[in-house]
Amino acid sequence: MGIELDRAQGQIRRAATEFARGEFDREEIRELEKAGEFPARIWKAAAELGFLGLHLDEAGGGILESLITAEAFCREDSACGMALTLAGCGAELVRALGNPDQKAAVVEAVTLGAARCGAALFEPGRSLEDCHTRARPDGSGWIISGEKTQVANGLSVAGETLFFPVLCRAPEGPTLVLLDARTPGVGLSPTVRRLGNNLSPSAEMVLEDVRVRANQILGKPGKAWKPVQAFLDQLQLLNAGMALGMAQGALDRALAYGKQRQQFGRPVLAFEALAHTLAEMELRLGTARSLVYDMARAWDSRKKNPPAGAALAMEAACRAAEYCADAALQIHGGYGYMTEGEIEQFYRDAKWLKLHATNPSQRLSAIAAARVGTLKPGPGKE
Amino acid sequence: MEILKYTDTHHRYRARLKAWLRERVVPQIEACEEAHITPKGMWEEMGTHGFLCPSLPREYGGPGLDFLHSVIVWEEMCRIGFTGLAAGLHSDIVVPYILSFGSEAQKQRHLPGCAAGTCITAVAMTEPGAGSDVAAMETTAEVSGDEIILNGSKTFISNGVNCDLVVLAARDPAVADRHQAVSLFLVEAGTPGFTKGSPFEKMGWKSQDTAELFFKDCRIPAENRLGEPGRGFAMLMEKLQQERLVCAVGGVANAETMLAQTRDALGDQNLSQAVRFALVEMTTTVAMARTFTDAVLADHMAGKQVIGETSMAKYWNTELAKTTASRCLDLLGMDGALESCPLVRQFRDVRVTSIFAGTNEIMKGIIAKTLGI
Repeated sequence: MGIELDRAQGQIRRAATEFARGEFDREEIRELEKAGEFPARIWKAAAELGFLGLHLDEAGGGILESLITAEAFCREDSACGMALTLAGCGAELVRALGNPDQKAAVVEAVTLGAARCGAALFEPGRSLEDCHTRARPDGSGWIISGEKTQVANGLSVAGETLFFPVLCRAPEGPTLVLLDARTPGVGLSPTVRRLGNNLSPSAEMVLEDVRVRANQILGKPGKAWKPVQAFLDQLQLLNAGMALGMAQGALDRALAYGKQRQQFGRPVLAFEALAHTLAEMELRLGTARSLVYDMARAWDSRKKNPPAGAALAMEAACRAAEYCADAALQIHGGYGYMTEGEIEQFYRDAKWLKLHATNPSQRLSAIAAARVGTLKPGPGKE
Repeated sequence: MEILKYTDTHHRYRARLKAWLRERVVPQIEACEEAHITPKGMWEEMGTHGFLCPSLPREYGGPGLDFLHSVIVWEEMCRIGFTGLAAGLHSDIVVPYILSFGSEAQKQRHLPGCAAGTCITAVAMTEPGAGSDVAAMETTAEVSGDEIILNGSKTFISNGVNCDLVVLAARDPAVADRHQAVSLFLVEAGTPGFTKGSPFEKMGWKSQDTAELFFKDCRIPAENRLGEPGRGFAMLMEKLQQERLVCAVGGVANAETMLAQTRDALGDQNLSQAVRFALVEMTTTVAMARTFTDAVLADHMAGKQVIGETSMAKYWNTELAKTTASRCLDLLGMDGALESCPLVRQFRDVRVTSIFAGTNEIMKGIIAKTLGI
């Protein structure tokens, strides 16, 4: 793979790969994907072996360790890999801002497979900055009302607790509140089927005068913006890891199929046009991987240089994944279009992932802003 | 820049078709997508209204309209994003085999039903081992007295479950030359030894009953041979032209539709420069493609030889549909990745078009030949 890993990281990759090969049952996953159900059995098994949320462990690894796991999982199966990687999506916020009780209840439980987490940030048709969910002071506590869309892990399947760090607007400014699915006034209904990531069904959340105590606030009221940005950076780096895995998985399958599939008396990869397509996949994946690993290491070493590293990593990896899944589908021909052929799922998942949390235009804006800064318009007329 | 000469008659036909699709078809799309098949009654209704086989002569029960009416049908099917009624395939790809190569008796027997929608057709060429390499087909047709015995299987056959009549390509095992061995046959559903698989589960075209077809000691009368023996490969190649034209028109119509849907979703106001320019770039390339496609259609209708141009249009427009789908989703972001967004079905549906009717790699090979390189 051409990326240097230390011994522990190499072990994580091998173990995660072995786990995915052993536990990801294709038939089971295909049925779950069609039904849009969470892979509870595989999730429990992954938790038992300590694969979940490696970057959440205070003593343990950084984002790179989780990224390596995400890559190995998504290489084996794009949808199952995403479901496992995103099972604790938002626990990062609790780890960064929570008190010891909150951390024990959420962060630990998420890594042990006793709970799942979904960051409730986005609202239908609105940007993150334009948050309409309100937190009104009420005595010593707060009353929350509003709605959130596509909240990860919004539906329980195996009796696990579901936690939601919810972004609200309080008089002090952006504020995070920790809710769980049983809090009175929290309404959850399944999101309609999505293009991809269908093993990790999300929910539409309606909050009707939800009463919360002061100790359910994560961090300080009005101070949520920076930690939310830091969380989105981590999420984008995990997205990048998943995208690398999908690109690699697509390449693996294109290579295996293309060497075996005969047309016109030879394997289809003996044709130069398709061989060069495979080379192009290798090239795009390799360059993306170098960038992603560099950015993940920079994040873990707390270096914020180069700026917008997470956006760079995610954009590069998602472009590679989109290209590789598309090229793999073409190499597979009609078979690649069939549900049975796996590649169609990679194709859908790669596209979905590219739109997850941030979209390409937002990432380019973030990358540009980090370099260019804010420029004031000149005195001339527009 | 009006290249195709649409008259008021065409406009009225299009309006009538649009109204029928809106009222009778669109409400049923969800159910068809779930079922992986479209009710046969919808085909009959389409025939009753004169939307099947538009250019089939009246003497064979067709509406006897000009070719532009067919183009209108292909385009409007794309505009509603419906793949269940593969009417372009039936009306303008399979039926022309019978019209061009069939005996008078074959024409009289089958064509009126084709126009009425009571006889749905399919063409069975592709096999598990013979995709791009059509001549590698292994399905055999052996002559035995006044009968022909068919053995083998075909795959990825559109209208595979609904079809009442199949134009089947099979080879004579006695002929060594792979190309000379192929003949075409008409096989009616219900013939003993001919069975159909269940509709495939696919990424898109979910309303379309794409299936496998199986032939096991299937005996058909010798007069069911279509055209001359050993001319099958040549007949396939000849008719693939129009199939590719259907794909080319579909590609550009799909791209136009997706752009319109994206603009609907985004609105016209307060768009960022990046979004406006992306829309401008896509609108520009789609307009270029439309102009070329209409020019190829005009030449095709005038009887000119447009093999290279047709392959160019098929290759370019199906890629265009794919990249337009992808880029439009990028603009819509997370809200666009829900199945409730019409772009998502289009994104899944258009991906197969650069594979079927000859992959785009095959198209490039054909274009290279016409360029003499």
